[in-house]
Amino acid sequence: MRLDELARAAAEDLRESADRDLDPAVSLGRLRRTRRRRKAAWLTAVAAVVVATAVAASDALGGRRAVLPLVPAEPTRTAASARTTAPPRPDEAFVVRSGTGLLSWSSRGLETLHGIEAEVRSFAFSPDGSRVAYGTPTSIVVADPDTGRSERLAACRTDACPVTWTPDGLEVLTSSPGLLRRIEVSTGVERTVALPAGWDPLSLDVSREGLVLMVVGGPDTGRLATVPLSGGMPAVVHTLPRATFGFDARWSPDGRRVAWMSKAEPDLPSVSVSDLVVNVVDADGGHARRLAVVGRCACLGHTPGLDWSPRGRLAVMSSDTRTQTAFEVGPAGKLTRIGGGSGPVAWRPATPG
Amino acid sequence: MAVRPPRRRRGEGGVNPTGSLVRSEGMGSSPPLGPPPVGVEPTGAVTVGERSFDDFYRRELAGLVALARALCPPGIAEDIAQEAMLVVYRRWPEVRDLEHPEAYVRRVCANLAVSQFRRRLAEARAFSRSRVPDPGPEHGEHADFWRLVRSLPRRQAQAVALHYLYDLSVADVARTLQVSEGSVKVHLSRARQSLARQLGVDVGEDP
Repeated sequence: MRLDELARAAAEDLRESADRDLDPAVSLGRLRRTRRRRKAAWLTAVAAVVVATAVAASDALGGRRAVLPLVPAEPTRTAASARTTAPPRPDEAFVVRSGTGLLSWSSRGLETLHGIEAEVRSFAFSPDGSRVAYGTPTSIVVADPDTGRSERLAACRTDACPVTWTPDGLEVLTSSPGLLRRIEVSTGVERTVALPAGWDPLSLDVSREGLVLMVVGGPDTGRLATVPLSGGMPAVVHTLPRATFGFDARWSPDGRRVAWMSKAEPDLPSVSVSDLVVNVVDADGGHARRLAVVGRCACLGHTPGLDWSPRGRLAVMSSDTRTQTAFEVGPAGKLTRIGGGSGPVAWRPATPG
Repeated sequence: MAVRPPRRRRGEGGVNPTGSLVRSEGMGSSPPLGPPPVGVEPTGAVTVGERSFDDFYRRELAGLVALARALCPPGIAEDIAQEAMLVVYRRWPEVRDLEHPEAYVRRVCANLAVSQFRRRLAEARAFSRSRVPDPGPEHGEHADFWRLVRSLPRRQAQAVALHYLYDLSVADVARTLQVSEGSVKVHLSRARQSLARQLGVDVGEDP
């Protein structure tokens, strides 16, 4: 038998089974209901951001009456309308994605960061906290959140588009399948570091010593792995249990531990919503343990994130079908609610000195 | 993976600026483009002289589901096809004026079906609609063939699915996926060799 005959018969079989199984009228009704539901969810999210911004503004004004903005809070402004001098940041700030922007919680209250106007897949602050690099479905952008100035640095070549900074703050690190990409921020010059075949990092983080941490592999081959920033022999820190999807691995500030998130990933087609777990393992691969369960993950379109602050605070975003809540995870796994948002999270370091 | 409809309008300049997805044979199994039908818009308004989303949906859904079944595991294909249709529904005022909206929705569907993040999204949604029965494992005498197609690199799988399911030529597959014809030829050739080797059949001549 020739391949063409076999393929055409298989195609005919598939088309017939699709024709047989479907009721377009029912599917069309479902499509309209889904569209209405999503529209309503979007409007609710916008309204929530408006209210949160108004409440924060009220607090920041010391009890003066807050004026509700007439339009949804825009995460970006033009450079001209934004502040030109950045006020000092005495404390590290917790930053989350909200809509197409970033919101920052700190002792200064709730602030919208400038220069971000896209669907943010991942983001990370430079070591001095003055700039943020973020990945969108198409680009990697570097922005100054205080002035709103932003510049497209490079194209994004993966869905996850992970970004992080090198310890010297001179380069942004991202990945494409089989490669680490080091992009010099001032010039846009790119260098690459080869990874083993099949490695397509879902998240990236660099230790102060220049060791790049990443999550690679699928539900049955997931691993936490490291590779030196300058290239060299990759090493596997921890192999994830079978049928576990791991993501967002981060070094602790002292580089002695790694935290990451995981979700059980049953074999298809028995799909389910499962526990979203915060895990920790020592940097040498020993003493792997579950630190906390932060909800049931449906992860509707946004993979929840996790990050360790420079002062050792571990923050994590929960995600279920109804709410997204950010928690700080204590040493014994105690959860303290610290905000809301969705998807990736990061800590913005305080102003040096 | 951003998928945007090309900003090209029917009849612009009198020449199809896409490089023409119009062939005298039509796009595979799609009906030939005749006078636009009378239909009901997503808003509920009856439109005359413009393409109706309802008609488009009814015409394309089964093909999209077959395409999604060819490219992703059973159980989520219907969700992937529905997601692709949702993209079109949201952008219908733009999409309906394209020379070939069906090529656009097929590209969206083919891309969604091989995107792991969107696959996860579809998985979660499939669960949330748990009243839908679990479809179980694939059946049928050709299930192995499609399993092998899904194990191919994603562009090869897309090229094979579009070529055989819609009976598209190499040129039409290239225009649907918005890649070069040479690239489609390479993908199809490699995919066919790989499939023939694994199935133990004669590969025959490249299309």
